[in-house]
Amino acid sequence: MTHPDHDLLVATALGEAVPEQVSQHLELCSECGPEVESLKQVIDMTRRSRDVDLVPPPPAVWAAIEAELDAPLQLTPRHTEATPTPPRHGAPRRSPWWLAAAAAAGIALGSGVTAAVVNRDSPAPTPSVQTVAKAPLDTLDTKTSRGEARLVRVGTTLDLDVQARGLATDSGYLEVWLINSDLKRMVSVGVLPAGVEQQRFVISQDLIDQGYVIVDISREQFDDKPAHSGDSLVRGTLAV
Amino acid sequence: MTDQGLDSGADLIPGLRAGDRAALAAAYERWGAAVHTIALRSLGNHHDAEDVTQQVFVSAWRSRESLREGVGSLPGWLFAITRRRCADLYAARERETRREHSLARHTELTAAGPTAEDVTDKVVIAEALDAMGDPRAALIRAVVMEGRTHTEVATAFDLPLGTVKSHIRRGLLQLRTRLEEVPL
Ligand SMILES: [Zn+2]
Repeated sequence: MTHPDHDLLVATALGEAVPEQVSQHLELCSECGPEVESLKQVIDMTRRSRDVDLVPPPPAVWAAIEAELDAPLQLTPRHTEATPTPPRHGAPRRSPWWLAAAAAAGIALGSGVTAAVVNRDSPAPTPSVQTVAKAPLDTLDTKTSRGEARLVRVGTTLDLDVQARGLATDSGYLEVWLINSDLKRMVSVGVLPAGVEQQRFVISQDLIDQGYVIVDISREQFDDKPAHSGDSLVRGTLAV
Repeated sequence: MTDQGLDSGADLIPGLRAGDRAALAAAYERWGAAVHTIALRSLGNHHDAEDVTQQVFVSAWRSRESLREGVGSLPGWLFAITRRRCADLYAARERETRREHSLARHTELTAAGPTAEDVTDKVVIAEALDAMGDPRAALIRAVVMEGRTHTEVATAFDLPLGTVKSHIRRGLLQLRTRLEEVPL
């Protein structure tokens, strides 16, 4: 079969008049007919893109990208002083798969800051420790106290020290979040391991400066959804 | 007529894969506005749009090793990440709405807006037309958007009719390719 010139297919798709034998061909041909339909879709979308003006992001966005890429990213879980776990000989410590998933949530949700759990295994010279702010962690329903979160400056790093007890994980696990005071954004700080009542996470000053000051512990299920489950157990605001 | 095709970012991929931050800056320079516009139109507020723009380039950088030279296009990849991030944020907002009783009441949540695919496709075309340059982009605008005939436009632009037809045809094929490069 001889197909019409592609220009004629374009003309047809644009709604221009074409010779009778071209229209007849299009009805029968299994190649040219669909091609015209495909061109019509592009034409339709092009017409609808008429009102689109590209809006460049403000300069601060590039600065924020650079700052985030320069921030250290560490995903290795460590144990805290408060809950020392005897080292197992010969067995390298591995992150459970869900810790990586939770960390990924930090990238997926907020401005992408992922915290690292503080290493207390290898004792360094004791740096100066200063509590910057505290937040009582109360249950959302009955406002019962379940612990406290403290923002602690250790030498040059900033830690979020979370202490919480009596939180039921059921079949899931506990995840610590920082919610922005605008109540629109949140980042995952890390996982509170089962049975652990105190855990420290390294966070960045940037995060606090951007208003991520509400500490939230949620119950998460072992699913493939890295976002906050919506099942918050306790919450408190850091008075910074 | 020479036909170079639309910028696929092929020149930046080796640099990106090698970890050259300047390549990321160049990609941001070329496609940052389109990424930001997709987010702005999908999410309806500047704050989230800026956040998503930041996330897209950060995650592009962090997953740069998944880029393959000669496969797909860099803008197509960036726009696909943008579309996914906007969809994620929508889903997160919906979850937030559900537990809003436990948060403060004044949280403003945008109702489901135009579908992300539609918005992305429209912006992809706008970006491609910008990148295409004239006279081709101007001819597409006149014939496709404004519905003027090839003949009218040929006279107005003082170009041979065959040249106009050829630009329109190749331009439409370029736009189609660009749309196909952004998988759902
Ligand atoms: Zn045919």
